[in-house]
Order: sequence, then C-alpha cells, then structure tokens
Amino acid sequence: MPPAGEPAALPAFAAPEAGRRRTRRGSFLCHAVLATAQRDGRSVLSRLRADTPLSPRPTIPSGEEPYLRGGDAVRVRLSASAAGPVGGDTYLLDIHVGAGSTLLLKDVGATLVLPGPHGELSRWITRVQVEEGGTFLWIPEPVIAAHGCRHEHVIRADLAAGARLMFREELVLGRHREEPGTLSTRLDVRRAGAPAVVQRVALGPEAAGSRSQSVLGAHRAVGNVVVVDPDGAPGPAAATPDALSAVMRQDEATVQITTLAPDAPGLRRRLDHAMDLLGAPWSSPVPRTWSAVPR
Amino acid sequence: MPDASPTFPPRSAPTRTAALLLLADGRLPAGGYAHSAGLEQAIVRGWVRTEEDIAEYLRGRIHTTGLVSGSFAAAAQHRTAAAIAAGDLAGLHEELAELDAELIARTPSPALRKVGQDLGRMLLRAMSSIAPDQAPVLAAAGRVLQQPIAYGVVAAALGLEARDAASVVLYESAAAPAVAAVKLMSIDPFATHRCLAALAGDLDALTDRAAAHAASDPRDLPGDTAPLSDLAAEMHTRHGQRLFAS
Repeated sequence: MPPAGEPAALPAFAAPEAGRRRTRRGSFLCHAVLATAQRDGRSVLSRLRADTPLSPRPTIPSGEEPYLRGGDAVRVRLSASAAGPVGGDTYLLDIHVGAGSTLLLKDVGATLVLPGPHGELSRWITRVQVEEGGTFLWIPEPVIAAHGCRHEHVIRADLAAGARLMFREELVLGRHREEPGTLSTRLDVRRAGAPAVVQRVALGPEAAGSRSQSVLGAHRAVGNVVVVDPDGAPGPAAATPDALSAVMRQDEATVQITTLAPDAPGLRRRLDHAMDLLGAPWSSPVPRTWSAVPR
Repeated sequence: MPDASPTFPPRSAPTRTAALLLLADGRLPAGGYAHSAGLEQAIVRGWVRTEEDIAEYLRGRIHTTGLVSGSFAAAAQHRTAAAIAAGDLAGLHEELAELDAELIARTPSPALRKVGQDLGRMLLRAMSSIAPDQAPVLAAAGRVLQQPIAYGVVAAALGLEARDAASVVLYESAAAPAVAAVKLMSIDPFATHRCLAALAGDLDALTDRAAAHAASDPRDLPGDTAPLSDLAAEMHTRHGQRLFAS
C-alpha cells in the first residue's frame, strides 16, 4: 500500500520488484509498512507489514515519554531479523501516520551497516507521511558505519501543515577503534509541500573532505534532532550550549539541533543536553532512557 | 557590438571572458572580503592551526557547501537565462523564490542564512549600479536572494553560462577563507594560494557536477552539509572580538 499522496518518485534502485524478495546475488529487497489511524479517539495500528529483515513489532510503553501529550500513541519497535543492511541490500520502509494519530517508533538495537560480498552499495529508504494533526516521534538507535561499508540512507518526510515530528539521528563512524566505511544520509523534511530541512551528511573514506575541520573533523559521531511543531518551534532562536552543539531555528515551526562528539555516548549526552533547551515536553528533568540497552 | 548611440563612458556588451573575470574578481565591491566562511572561529577554537589544516578545511568546504552553492548558482542562472531568452521576466521572481526556499532549508545556521542574504542583496545592489543595462533583469529577480542565487542571476544578466556561475561560486567558497587565513594566522600567503591551486582539479570536477543540476527540479539539488562550519558560524555571531563578519 503506497501512502496516499505519493511523494516524489523514488530513484530507480528503490523501486521494489514485484515477487522478488532477494536479488540474484542473495541481497535483500525488502519493503515494510507501518500505518496508524485514529479510531474512537485513540491511535491504533492500521497496518503492519514486516518483511525480512525489517521486523516492526508493537510494544507496550517503556521508559520516560514526556513528548507524548496525553500518553496516547501507537508504540512500535523496529527489529532486524537478519544482519544488515549489508552491501547490495535495499530496504524500503513506508510510514503513514493518519490524521490525529500518534506513532512512537524506536529500535531494538543499533543499526550496524556492513559491507557486502561484492562491494555493492546498500540502501535504506524511509518514506514518511504525517497527516493533519498526526504526530510522528522517531527515536532510532545509532547507525554505525562498519569498516568497508558503502551505504545510502534516505529519509523523506512529508508533513501536513498541522502535523508534528520529532526525529533524532545518531551516526557513528565505525565500531570501537574501527576505521569507518562510507555512509551518506539524506534527510528531506517538507511541511505542506514547502522545504523545512534538507541535508545530506556524508562520511567515511569515499566522502571527500569529510574529515576536515569545516565538516566533521576527527569526531567519530555526528547527530541531529529535528522538531517540527505547528504550535511554534520550541526553544531559543539560536544557542550553542557547548562548542560542538548548536540549537538552530529553521523557521516558525522547525528547529534543528546539530552535535558532534568523539564517540556515541558523548553524542547522546550532548544531544540530550541540547534538547533540554527546547523546554517541555522535549526536555527532561531526569536522565533520558532512550535506549533499549541501558548505558 | 558597437553602440548606435554612444554614451559616456563608452560601453560595450561584456565578452564572456571579461564578464567572468569581472564577476570572479575578489575586488568586486560586493562585500565578500568581509567574510572568512567560518575560518576565523575555527582558528579561534584551535581547530585549524597549520597549512595542512587550511588545505583540508578548504577541501571540506568545496565538497559540501561549495557544491550546494554552485548547484544553486547554476540553477538560478538557468532560470534567469531562460526568462531573458523568452523575453518574459514576469515569472522569474517566483522561480527564484522557490530556489531560495530550497537553499534556506539546506542552511541550518541562522547566522549563515543572514550572511547569505546580506551578501546576496549587496551583490544585486552592486550589479544594478555596475551594469545598469541589466537593471530590468535584476529588478525582476527581486532584491533579496541568498548569495549563490544572486550570483546565478548576475551571471545570466552578464551573458554567462550556468557552468560559469557554478565555477565562480565554487571558487569563491574556497578563495574567501584562503585569503582570510593570511589575516588570521601566521601563514605565508604563497602557502594559502598553494592550497587553492591544489584544489583546481576538485573544483573543476565539482563545477561539472553543479552545472549538471542547472535544469534539475529544485528539490533534487544537493544538500551536503558541513556541521562544523554551522557550529563555527553560530559561535562566531556571539564572539566578542571579530575581524571578519563570518
């Protein structure tokens, strides 16, 4: 089921081939779907299509959820039933948040992007559509670019004028003491058709200049938080809580936090600290419990 | 072309090379000299200390924000040249405003958006005085545009191609901080230009990529970011002692 009001056509490589779950060389072509709707004043899961390795699972509330106004939400965690993405894989994830409903999407664990046997590119395309009055809160675990990987991450979010979004992205350059592979992530958030945040972060050996002091420097983790709130962008117009974090208001509804850190835990601490500047309900008086695995 | 009714000073339509030199000249009074493209703050923070750091700094810039700026300059040139060729400037402002919104969405730092807007306005104002023949085109484009888009408009008005516009903007994205480096740290001016010369191949390749986007849907233009540059720009606006505006 493609979401109503299909966003811009996908690149050719992302078009799922009918009837084929794996390529000739054994890579995955998977297409998972998540949709919510509002019924009798409650958010319900209206469609859930798992497709190996993308296995979304409905869950009960866990941890602290101040950003869920009123506590009504469909909670889903994305788990992977195979390693990956591995070079050659194409994952397609469609997320449709129906009018007035709320979806809180988290991961079961970090995404470790691995090289494939043939040096091919892996891709993960997520298409998000949030209807009027809908709220999509997406707090994935880190995406780790393992040595030798070549990966493209694409996220396209089309929001109605009265839709709400929180997205948190944590990219890590390699596992502990590992040289990173090549990874790019493109985020394209549009509100009522107008561009709100469009950016591509490229890192690793094939990303020319990415280790320079104008791009990422020697930092091994880079992250973003994007909040779109039609009631007004939360937090200050601009702030730099520390020398490697900035809170930057994009427009009247959108604010972005950008942070760099030497490692993943440092990145998470800085992002949490910067998010506290956004005020309720985005800030937290107690340490956050984002992660499936307590740190 | 000889002018039918000579004016003073005598004027001729600029040839392509001379127009390109005019636009690319760092002495063009359009305000660019007051900006270090984040380098001043990077030096203050100790992120950049050596000639090697400068060379990498410039390389990082051209492959991210330089490519984005060059692509938007090419796209703006393409739309402006098409409007001039069609003799219909009515829809130009709307097309450029769409590009402007896309570029703003690719510029997370409020400080850099302000710098881009100020420099764009200065360039358009300077050119409407420098090239009064082109005033109708510049007026149709609008007075407030981000700098790369303003460069594209001016390039089209001067009869230059999309690739020229991309080339000027990409070169400028490296040359501005390179020249600023000489004023900000103890470094041999030959060394900074050595860094620039070493980037010539990269700049040409990136210019080709940027020019290929001239006719693209604005949504598909590159959006490569330089997070440390955004952070440096944000810290620089709150820094008490500054030599450069950005």
